[in-house]
Amino acid sequence: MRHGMLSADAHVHVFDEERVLHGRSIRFAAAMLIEEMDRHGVDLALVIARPASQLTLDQLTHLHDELERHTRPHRSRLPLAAWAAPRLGPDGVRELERTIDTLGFRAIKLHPEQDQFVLDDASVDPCVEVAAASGVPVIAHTALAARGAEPWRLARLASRHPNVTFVMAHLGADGGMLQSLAAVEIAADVDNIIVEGSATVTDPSATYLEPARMLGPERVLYGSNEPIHQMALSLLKLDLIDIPRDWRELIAGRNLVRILGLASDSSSALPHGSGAIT
Amino acid sequence: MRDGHLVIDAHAHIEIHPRVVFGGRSAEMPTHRLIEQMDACGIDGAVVIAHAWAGWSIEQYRSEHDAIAGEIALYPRRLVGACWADPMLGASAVEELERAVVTLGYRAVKLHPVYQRFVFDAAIVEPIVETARQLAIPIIAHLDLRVPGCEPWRMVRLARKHPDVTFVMAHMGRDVRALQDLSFAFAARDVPNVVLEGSSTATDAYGTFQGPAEVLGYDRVLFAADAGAFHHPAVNLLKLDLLDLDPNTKAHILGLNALSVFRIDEAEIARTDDRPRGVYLTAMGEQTYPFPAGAIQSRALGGA
Repeated sequence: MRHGMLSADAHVHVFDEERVLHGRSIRFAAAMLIEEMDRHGVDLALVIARPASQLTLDQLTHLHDELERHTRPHRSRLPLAAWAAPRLGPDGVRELERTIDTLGFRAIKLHPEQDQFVLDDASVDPCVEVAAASGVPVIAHTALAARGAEPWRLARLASRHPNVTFVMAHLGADGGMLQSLAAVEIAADVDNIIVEGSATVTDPSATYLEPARMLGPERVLYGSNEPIHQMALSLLKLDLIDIPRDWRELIAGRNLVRILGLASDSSSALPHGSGAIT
Repeated sequence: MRDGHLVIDAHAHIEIHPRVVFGGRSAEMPTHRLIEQMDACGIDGAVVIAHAWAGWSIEQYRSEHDAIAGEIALYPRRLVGACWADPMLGASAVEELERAVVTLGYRAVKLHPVYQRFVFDAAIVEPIVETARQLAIPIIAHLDLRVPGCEPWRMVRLARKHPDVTFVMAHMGRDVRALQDLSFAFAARDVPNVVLEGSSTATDAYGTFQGPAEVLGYDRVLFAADAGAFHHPAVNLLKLDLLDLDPNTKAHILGLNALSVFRIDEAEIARTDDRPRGVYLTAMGEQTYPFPAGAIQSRALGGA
């Protein structure tokens, strides 16, 4: 816990084996993530599957299986998000269903930049329908600079699926967009979008305070994007803003627990619950 | 000071008169509040960059330069200044640049092609660059990958033509992906008079400081915060705390490089109380952010 309240990171990745991402050599095993969480008092972190290239169906299935296996010892603290690949068609949809129904994943990730699709394209709808049927949220990588991943496309997609909760990751991944609050304005028009502040620039108010004022504190998530980005930096940004305690509790953790359908006051309610929230 | 090192913020702003920017956000940062923030963070000195806007007359530039110089004069052992120049104003911009440096004591000139709407490596910029060379001051530029005419690679081109002028790339090109993959460090690697400055960048400690230092050398990377109404210097300071840098590299990035680039005598700058690594004053009181043992990440591909 941090400051006597639940702390939950809405955006982390685990790389069990060393891999190259952004030209950098990275290994970040689940045990390393847990160490980092313990170092900073973070109770829970949503681990998002993250391939480094476009995968075949077999490769994607393997990625999900390995992620589930590798994080299993820490399941009460590490819920999982599956990787959606609209280009795989019905096979990709069945794989999403398998991750949720069989492996216990709690969310679906859309990454149009990495997997080369357009966020509001009709091909994405079947993936979102899996989320609707399963009651899990959809996390969307948004980036103003990446064609197909612009935040306004998420507004279009979310408007078509009002019963699904969408998370706008990175608030558009653009410094100017963050500072002008443009991504938040886009989200303001669509009630089922929540914004998440990982991998954003060094403006704490534009990351957390102003979005909470504009959307309400229940629609803002703390996130870090470990391991490329550092948990401590996003936590510092959150600590630097002066907000009411109930707002901080929501942003720091309770909102994530709510949208993932977890219970924050009882470890038994967590998926595969075997350990207590710290 | 932090962790025994001199700290100079190479990019800071004050707001003498509150303004509304970014479509509605209020910008307030009186000089005394900047100094208080610097004291709390252990920042000894800062390069305060004047503000200007598109379409300003030369009279407005003069007024802004006079006003900012007046504020800097209140804290002569903490602040130095960078003036603005608008190449579109031609000879009068050159004259004002000379006045700002020679008479008012500014140490650098800022170019902002995004606001002032010029192509950064166009011929119209040459008189400003030539004046900077004669005055022996560096050129700081706000560049933005997404704005045609303002792409960071244009600085590399311009700097290659003017090897005896130092160019400071503010915000490292202002793009998260470029930060993560060190794009502009690699772009500038072979042009030694380009220095990268990491203010208002995303929460990637390695991409902001260590990676560029590995590509360019420790003497071509500046700590900067874009301190002012919006960005908080603690975030970029914590990035450096989290990294496993050797003391010499950290000392240069935190302050020694700024002394060299902006030609500041070390004795000019007063020292703040030394702040320990990983400790910051926040809205939640003084907080400690533990740093991991060993390196966060390493470069993989060699930047070929």
